[in-house]
Amino acid sequence: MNMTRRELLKKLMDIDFVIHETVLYLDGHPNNKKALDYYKTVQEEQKEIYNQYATQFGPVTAENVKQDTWTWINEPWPWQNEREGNE
Amino acid sequence: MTLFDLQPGFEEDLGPLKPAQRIECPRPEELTKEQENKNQGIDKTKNNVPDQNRDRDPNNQNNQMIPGQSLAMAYVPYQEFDDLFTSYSDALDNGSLFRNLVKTFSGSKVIRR
Repeated sequence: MNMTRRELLKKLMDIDFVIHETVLYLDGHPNNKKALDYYKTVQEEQKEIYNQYATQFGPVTAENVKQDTWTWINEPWPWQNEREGNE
Repeated sequence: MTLFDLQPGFEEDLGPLKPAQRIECPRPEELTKEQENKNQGIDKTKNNVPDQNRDRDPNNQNNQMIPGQSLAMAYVPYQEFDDLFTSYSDALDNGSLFRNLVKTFSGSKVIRR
């Protein structure tokens, strides 16, 4: 399924939040195997989405550059918001 | 002693709880400068610096318990890793991965203290 840039970015934000929540839970319950398994599963899923985004639209961070050229500079900078047409 | 050691009837031994006494406090704008300094622990005779130990001083009138006021007991249950949102998007929208931590604010008014 082809997703738009915005949809995929939202998916990334969603899964980043879920990972953050799981990390917080694990901080307080480090021996909970169910939570640790869940964390590993979601982390794998997160990697896939990051890769999908990086391949389709460019890197999310400079470390994610997958193309043969330095595509990081093609991305909008953090201070360039949607009003500048970066949707 | 744990909660599980408590015998039935333990609460009865304490006697009936009395309602906390209501104290009329002046509004902040009604306080005089002297009262305001006193509340902030500022003693003009001592370099006008807030007294750091005033909250620990049992003789400080502000630290004494209101007559009839009962102690509070907090009980925080162990959080199980279940009842999760299956949709990551729902988790973000609700601000928690755990369904049972989504609490809707149901307060109706703010009480001035």
